[in-house]
Amino acid sequence: MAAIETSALTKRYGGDVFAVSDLDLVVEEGEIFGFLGPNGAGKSTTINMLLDFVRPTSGSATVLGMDAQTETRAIHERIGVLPDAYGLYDRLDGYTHLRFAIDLKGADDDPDALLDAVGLDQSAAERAVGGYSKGMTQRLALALALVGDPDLLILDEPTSGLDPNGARELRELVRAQAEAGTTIFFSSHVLEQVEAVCDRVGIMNDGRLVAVDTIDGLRSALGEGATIRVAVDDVPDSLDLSDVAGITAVTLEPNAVRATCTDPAAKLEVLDRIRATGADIVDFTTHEPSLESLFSAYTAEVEA
Amino acid sequence: MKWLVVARKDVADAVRSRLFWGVVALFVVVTAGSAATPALIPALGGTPALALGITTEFGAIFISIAAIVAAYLSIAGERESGSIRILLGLPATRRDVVLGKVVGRSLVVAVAVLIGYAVAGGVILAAYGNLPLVPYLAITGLTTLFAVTFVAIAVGISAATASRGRAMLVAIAVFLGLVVLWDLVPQLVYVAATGGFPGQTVPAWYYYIELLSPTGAYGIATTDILTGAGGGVGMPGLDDRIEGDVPGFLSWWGMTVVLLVWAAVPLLAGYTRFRRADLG
Repeated sequence: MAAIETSALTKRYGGDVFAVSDLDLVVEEGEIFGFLGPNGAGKSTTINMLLDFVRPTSGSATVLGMDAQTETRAIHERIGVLPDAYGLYDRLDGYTHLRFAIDLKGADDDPDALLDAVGLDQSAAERAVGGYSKGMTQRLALALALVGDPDLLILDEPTSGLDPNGARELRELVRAQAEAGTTIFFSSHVLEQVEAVCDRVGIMNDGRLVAVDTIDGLRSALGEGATIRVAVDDVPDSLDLSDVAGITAVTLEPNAVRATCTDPAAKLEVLDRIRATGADIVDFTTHEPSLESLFSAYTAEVEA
Repeated sequence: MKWLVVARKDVADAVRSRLFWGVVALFVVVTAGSAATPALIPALGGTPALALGITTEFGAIFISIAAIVAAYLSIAGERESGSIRILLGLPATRRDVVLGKVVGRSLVVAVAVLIGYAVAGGVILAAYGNLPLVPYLAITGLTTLFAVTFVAIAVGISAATASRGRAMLVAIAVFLGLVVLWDLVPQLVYVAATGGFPGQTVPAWYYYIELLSPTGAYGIATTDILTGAGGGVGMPGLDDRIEGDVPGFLSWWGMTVVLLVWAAVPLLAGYTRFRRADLG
């Protein structure tokens, strides 16, 4: 059973504004799925439909095998949610928030353990939330999402409001949750956040899903392979790389060989071939294409 | 019973609000003050029943405002702040939210009314030497129901509107229509129907128009309770105002039904709209 499955899911506002268009998406149980796209691409609208905050114009969605629109309560008993554009109750303290979530979920979590998991002090949790910084608010909201040991965590832009250290802690938390068997659906417009933790990513642009793959898969699909540059004492004339599988381009410089590899294994092959000619390898560097460039390639492709 | 958890959180939230305690304090001053008025002005020939009657006159306006203020943002405010996303992200349904809100806010407003009437009862006992228990309890109960009715109307408005501003606009319009202006409607209809102004007595239909607003229904019910209690009320009863026999429905129990309908219909209408709304 898929953790999330949408079928021709569509949300139209007004007559012709498609926030989400004909979306078919499957997130398998146990994976960390990164949901990428620029702001306004339809990520939050999709998540809002999964959570039944927003009703689809057509199509359907299931979460943990249950219909998102009709089995809402049963779904929400088993998922943890960090929604986008949320607010907390300014007059209530952190502990009251946690107890409220624990009561609503019928769970028996220890509030202090939840605070610990998100790195929030007990003294902070005793204060009214109105005085929290954006980062503290985000940590408390994350703790609320963790209540009841959910089977699926839906996190909409979870790193927003976190400093780099907080974002790193979040990634560790996400990995730990995933290791404990929780499926994670993680949206972001900040690509590095997703690249570092996700098994697979889906890229949304303009209401459409333009790609779904592993990060490596996306790279090779676009032919944007990694580059290996090998510095040698002297470029051997006998070097021939044309028959190496997974290489798309070779450039020879006076004292270096540069090859673009769509298959990671090809890099080693390049080194072996150079060594086989008897040339001395002085140094080598590899360069991975940034997800940013992948991302612009995908989103630009759609506009063209 | 998720709605109970929502209601409990709502009460916890409300009692931390300075606005809430301000309203309670003001209500205590208003009811105690109006209960003492007949004693302070000997020309009124003060009796405990008259004192109770005056509390309801002031109370009707004040309580309707207080109940609306206490509840009109209950849901629209959460939509605007985004806390509704946390709430609905947890396993609370939209029905739990509406039910929890109406129960939580009703409880809060009812406590304010009960504190106000407890103080007013003490003032009446001190100023007049006795407190007619049955009408006192009946007025207290009826006023609590009146307050809950306006809470339900305001939660209904709040459920139906997406923002703070729109909720406020509708709440003000409803307050003006139901509390301030509705009094004029039977008079206007009377003038239109008979060509003259209403005199000492009016036909029963005049009151049937009046009871269409919760404030009108509350007024009829309190008149029935206080004049029915007999003895030195100092205010005309329904049988003094209505030509011919007073229909049985124009009574405290008939008006209780009207108030219950007023509590239920806007709440259901608001819920129906909220249930279908996109909280995007």
